[in-house]
Amino acid sequence: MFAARRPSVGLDFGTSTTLVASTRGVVPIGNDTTFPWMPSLVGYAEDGTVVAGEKAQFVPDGQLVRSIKRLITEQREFVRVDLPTGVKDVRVDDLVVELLREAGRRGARGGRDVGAGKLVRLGCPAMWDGRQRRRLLGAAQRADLPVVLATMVDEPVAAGIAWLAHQSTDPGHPQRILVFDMGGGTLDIAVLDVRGANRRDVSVLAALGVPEAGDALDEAIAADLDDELIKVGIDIDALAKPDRARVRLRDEARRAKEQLSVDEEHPITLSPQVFGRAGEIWYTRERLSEAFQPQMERAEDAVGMALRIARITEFVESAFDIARTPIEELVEGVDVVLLSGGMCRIPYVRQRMEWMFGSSTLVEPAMDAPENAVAVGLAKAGEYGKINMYRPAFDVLLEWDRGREFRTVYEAFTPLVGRTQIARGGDDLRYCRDGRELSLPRTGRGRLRVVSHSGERLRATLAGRRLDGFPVALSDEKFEFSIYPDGRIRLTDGAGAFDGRIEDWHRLDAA
Amino acid sequence: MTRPGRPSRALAALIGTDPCAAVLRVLQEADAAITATDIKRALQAAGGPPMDKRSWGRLQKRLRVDDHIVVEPGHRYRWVAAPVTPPPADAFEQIARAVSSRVKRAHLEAVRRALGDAPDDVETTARQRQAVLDGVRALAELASEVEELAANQASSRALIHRVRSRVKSSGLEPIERAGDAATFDRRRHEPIGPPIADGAPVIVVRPGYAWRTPREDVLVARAAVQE
Repeated sequence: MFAARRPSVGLDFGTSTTLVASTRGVVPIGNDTTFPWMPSLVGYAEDGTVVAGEKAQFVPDGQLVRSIKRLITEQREFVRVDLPTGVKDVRVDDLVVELLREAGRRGARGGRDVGAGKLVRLGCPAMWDGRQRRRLLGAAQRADLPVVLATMVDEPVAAGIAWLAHQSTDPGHPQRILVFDMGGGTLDIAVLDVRGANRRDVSVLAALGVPEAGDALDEAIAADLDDELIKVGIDIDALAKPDRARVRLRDEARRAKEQLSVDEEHPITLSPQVFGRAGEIWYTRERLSEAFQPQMERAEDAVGMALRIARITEFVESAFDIARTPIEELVEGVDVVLLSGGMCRIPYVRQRMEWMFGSSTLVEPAMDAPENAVAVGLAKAGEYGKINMYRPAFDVLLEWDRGREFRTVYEAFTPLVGRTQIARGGDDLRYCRDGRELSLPRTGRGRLRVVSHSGERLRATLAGRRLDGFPVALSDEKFEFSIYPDGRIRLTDGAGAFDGRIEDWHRLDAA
Repeated sequence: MTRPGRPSRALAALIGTDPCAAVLRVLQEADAAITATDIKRALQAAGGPPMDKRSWGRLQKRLRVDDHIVVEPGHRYRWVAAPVTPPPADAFEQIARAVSSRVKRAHLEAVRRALGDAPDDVETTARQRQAVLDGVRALAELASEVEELAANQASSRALIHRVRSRVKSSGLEPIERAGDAATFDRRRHEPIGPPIADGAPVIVVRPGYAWRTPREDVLVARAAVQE
């Protein structure tokens, strides 16, 4: 399952910022600012035109859409904006098109043409399903970016590739990598397996996202500072403009978070105009860690869940066993923990991961500038084979009546096993659809068809024959199609039961 | 593209004499990225014979190196009016893939490195400009921070701490502290006024700074001292 090996441009459409990179590094696309990235902002100017990037910062709040990527994650089709002509529901995808088009234009200006004939690799959260991926893909294509599903890369995979690209020596054995990607709005965790010497293949064994990251920590620090103010006799609620004071406190919280990444303590000075009098709060890294602790504990729970999900591709084990596997055992097989995203500059993140994984696991940033890792990894992704074993990149269709009728038996990027299935501890871990769910006819002849979205043909067999084109005896009662996380496939139809497997799934237990 | 039933006469004439030119004409008329199947269908619709695998293979090789043809993901071919000129590094990677089995890896690496260092392409210029901007931004942030601290009536301890913390983010480490006593060291100290002997007691007038990176340490400025 190798994607095309072509020089490419990476486009990291992030929740807060959008970056473009070539294989040589980030291509500056900031406009009228000194930053190399473009803010992921889009809005409407007074004359009704759509503006994206820095220009959107100057439109009134009601006309501005922040964190537009999150709207795709939340499966929202429309967003409400307050235009001079009145309140209007605008299609989210239309605004994403404008943002991506602007990023493409700027990339070209920076020397990275992203027009026809080029290859743009676009990142997306590993937790996104097929529908979400197709939405972003559709928007990118409307923005004239040369992208297909096969050139969309899971963001944690890209971060892993950014790190792999800098490894001069081949470890000589498969590596298990956990990517901990904490940005402004979300925490993405992925468990990857890397194998192969000359050309390395990256497999996604598990990926999940948590909508709690940098913004949540800012809130926690601000709440902490509020308590400190009370200790020195300043009650924000009693101030003439408490809202203004809270906004300032939040800003100070963000700055303290950044500075405490390089220093042990940080003096916050109070503005007499805002807080009624001058004063200083010496906020320490230790206090920040205390404020961060509950959030990091939740993040570690998510890491544990990702490792449990990864486990199901490894052995044929029941969810009951997986749910009860001690965390010490789960972390044992991880060789490297890669830190990606701006939040990973905070020393406490690394410290927690080192505590969790122990001294035998290497914990380090995916890149010197972890916020660039996804973009750079996307640009270099063509050099690596990629396979998502948790959300496979192929559709399985069941066709009959000469293709005039069909059902989607498996839709690409659907998780094979849900988190709740593992948490509940059931003993039947697999993706399964039956004839009743699919409203199949009672009898008749059909055929399975496989549509790969990875850019390569899927090698899968059933009863020794190719899965693509496998004949099916239709039956609404007997039909059942299953994909197991370890790559096994089973079909039961009107004629019997057939077993097979996805050949591209590597046998992890045989490594 | 050429629609079935309405074949272009010029295309029909080309198929027999120059199949490659015929394919280029199909792609030009298509005005979109199309697959090999689409191309073959268009040729047949114009009166051409069905194309066997071998003939297509020969044509495909010529198409892939034609300056007006770009191959997009999904093996789709697109005709572009202006030949696509890739950045030198991308062009080299394509050449490297084609000849990798016949050239020493070290030679390819040498050219790759040279291209990576080449200063004359747009991307490098953009990156160099960004490096300057990063420096200017750091300076502006420091200036605004100092002004904010002054307006907030910050103590000198807080002010110095914040300034040092800010420059530390850029890898700058202070040498000495203003007002402290020290013994003169010509490697770290710059005398104000007449020369000072090593080991002589001095007062630090202004701190110096060293820039530390994983690759090197650079002395930006020595601390200004006076006897």
